Amino acid sequence: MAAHANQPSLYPLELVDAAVGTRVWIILRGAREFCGILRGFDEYVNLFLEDVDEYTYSEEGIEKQHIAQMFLNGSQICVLAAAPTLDGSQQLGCAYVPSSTT
Amino acid sequence: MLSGEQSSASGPGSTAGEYEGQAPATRTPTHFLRKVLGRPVVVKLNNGTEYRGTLVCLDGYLNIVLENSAEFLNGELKRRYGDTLLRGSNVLYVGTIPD
Repeated sequence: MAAHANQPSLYPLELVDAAVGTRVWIILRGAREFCGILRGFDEYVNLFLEDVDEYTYSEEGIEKQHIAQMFLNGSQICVLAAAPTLDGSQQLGCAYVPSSTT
Repeated sequence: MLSGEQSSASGPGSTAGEYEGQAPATRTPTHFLRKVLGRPVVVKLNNGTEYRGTLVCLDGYLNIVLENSAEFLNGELKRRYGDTLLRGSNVLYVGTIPD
């Protein structure tokens, strides 16, 4: 712990909180991914997403489906990351400002 | 689960100021589910099966009752049901359907 004493602490859900309003990439257990705008979440990391593209990978190829708004069960989520942008500027939690520096 | 909406975005050091005037409760997954009650939805299960129908009711386990529902496998209509209970442990997502 001492080695990290000078660094601002960031809890995992704070990072998710900071990502609210941005486009995120979600990888689930199984061959399924989602890309959408994160609107909200709860303590189980159930997500409320908007403008979502669902990608299902199978031997026949990639199936894409669009859903306007969705509740996504947190129990199947493996990874939540910032969705890639053309200029690469978007980072997960880029809106987060550590309180110790303000 | 349904009673947990207040806990969203309130982690240690959460920047509550960001949400001023934005009514954070309206943005939680739980509130979304309440909002789509009575509306047509698509429910996908963990095994990939899709059910489309009118969302009648649901509980904190995500047990879901659909009305006038249809079962889709790989995008193909398989069967139609009247009332359906989907056990919450299988539910992957609940999405809106454009009218």
